[in-house]
This record gives sequence, structure tokens and C-alpha cells, in this order.
Amino acid sequence: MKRNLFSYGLLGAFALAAAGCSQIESRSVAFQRFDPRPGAEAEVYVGQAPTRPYVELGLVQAVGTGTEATKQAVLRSLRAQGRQMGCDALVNVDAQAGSLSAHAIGVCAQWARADENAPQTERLGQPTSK
Amino acid sequence: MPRFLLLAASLAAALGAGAAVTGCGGQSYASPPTSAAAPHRGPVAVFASRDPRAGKLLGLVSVKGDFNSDVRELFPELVRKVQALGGNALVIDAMGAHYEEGGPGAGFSKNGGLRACPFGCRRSSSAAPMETATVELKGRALWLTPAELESIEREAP
Repeated sequence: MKRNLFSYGLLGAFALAAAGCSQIESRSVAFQRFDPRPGAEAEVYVGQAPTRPYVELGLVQAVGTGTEATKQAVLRSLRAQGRQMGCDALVNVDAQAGSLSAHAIGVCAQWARADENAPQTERLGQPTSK
Repeated sequence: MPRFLLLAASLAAALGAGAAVTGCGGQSYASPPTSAAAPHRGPVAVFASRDPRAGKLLGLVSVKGDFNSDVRELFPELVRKVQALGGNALVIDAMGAHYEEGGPGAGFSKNGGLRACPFGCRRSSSAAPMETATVELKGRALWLTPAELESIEREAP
């Protein structure tokens, strides 16, 4: 009985330690002031640009460690951050994973509308973080 | 060695160690400007996924940090590099992480009782290679004339 309790305790401690060591963080920085408009899932473009016109809004980044140190996990987090920011697409996405951490970064883009012609002027707007 | 030199060296070492401990280990580079332009203090146009195909190249810029470097710190640093070169436009050519397997990892082993460390610590080397990850943003600092900027903005979607 005592032995069983000890084993379960040890197992629980390992699980807690593993969970505590895993985390994923996403961040973004804006090129220009804009109103975040959370919307649908952003399309991800790796190694190619969208064919439809778009406006660059900023950069989004995701970093994962522990069990979250996978390309899938950081891309999922990047998309979530992009959705929160109001990106229609994530362009020029680079995702890399090592054995201890994974990293993804991309350009947040919004599809251009006929009435929009936003200048892409960097004003170091309001960085946001999740 | 003169005493003030020793003091200066100690101060530099302490500052370096402090920066390392606080995690402020980001590096940034700016190539020597091709022309001695005065620093630009105004806004910087950013082209993160396309090339404006205009303007005068002032130099190459890049910022680098460890895997956990924050884009909210790296990007403004890159913009400052562009401004320092006198540029009013930044073209980001590459961004991402790079993973590299280093030499054998170094660790510490205890050489005594439970409270022996750090005085009883002995440096040892493990067989497992160390992984180093760097995050880098690379680009070009450009000077675009007002006419060029206007034309690019007009052509922009």
C-alpha cells in the first residue's frame, strides 16, 4: 500500500514537473496603428506570397518549449495570435524546431479592400502579447 | 598592469556577466554605411514580405538573440539600426530561428554531501551535444525619396 502511494506520488511529481516545463508563448509587434479585428483563422503562407493584394500589419512570433517544442504547436499558436490580431494571412512564415524548443515567425497581413490604401509606415505601434 | 586598467576590465566583465544573467544577450549588427548619411529620426517604412525595388541602399542590418528573444524587442532594434544608417525604409529579407548542435555539453557534478555545491562542485562534461538556437532578423536599410514613397503607396493594394 505504502509502496503504491509512493509510486503514484512520484508519477504525479513527474507529470507536474513535465507540465511546468512546457510552455508556449506568442507575441506580436505592429508596423502601424490598426484596430485589431479578431476574425477567422488566418491562412498560412510558407515560401510563397499570396496572389491577392494585402497590407502588412506587423510580425507575429511563437516560441514553444518542452512538450510544445514542435512545429505544429508553434504554428497553432502563431495562427491563434494572428486571429487575435485580425490577420487574414500569415506570410513568409518560418517554423523551426529543435529538441528543446521550437520557434515560428511570420508577417501578419490583411487582405486589401477597395477603400483601403493604408501606408506601410512604421510607427512602432502597440506591441501586444498573449 | 595599472590599477585603473584592472578596474575597467573588471567593470566590463561585470557588465557582460550582468547582461548574460539578465538574458539581455541580443546582438545586433549594422554594416558600415555606404554613405555617411545623418541618422534619420522620422518614421521608417517597413517591407516585411516584398521588395519596393526602389531607393538607395545604405547598408545591411540584422539583429540576433537566443531562441526566446522577443520580436517586440528585436524589431524596434532593427528599425533603430536603419535610422542610425540614415534610412527611412526597411526591407526584411530573412527572419527565423536557426538550430545548431554544439560541442559536448558542460555540466556540474557534486563532489560531496548535499550541501557541497557550489564549493564542492566539479566541472564535468556530458556526452550529449548542446543545442543552441538563435533568432535573427536580417534586412536592408534604404533611403526612399518622397516621390518613391508616394509611388509605392499608390501602387500598394
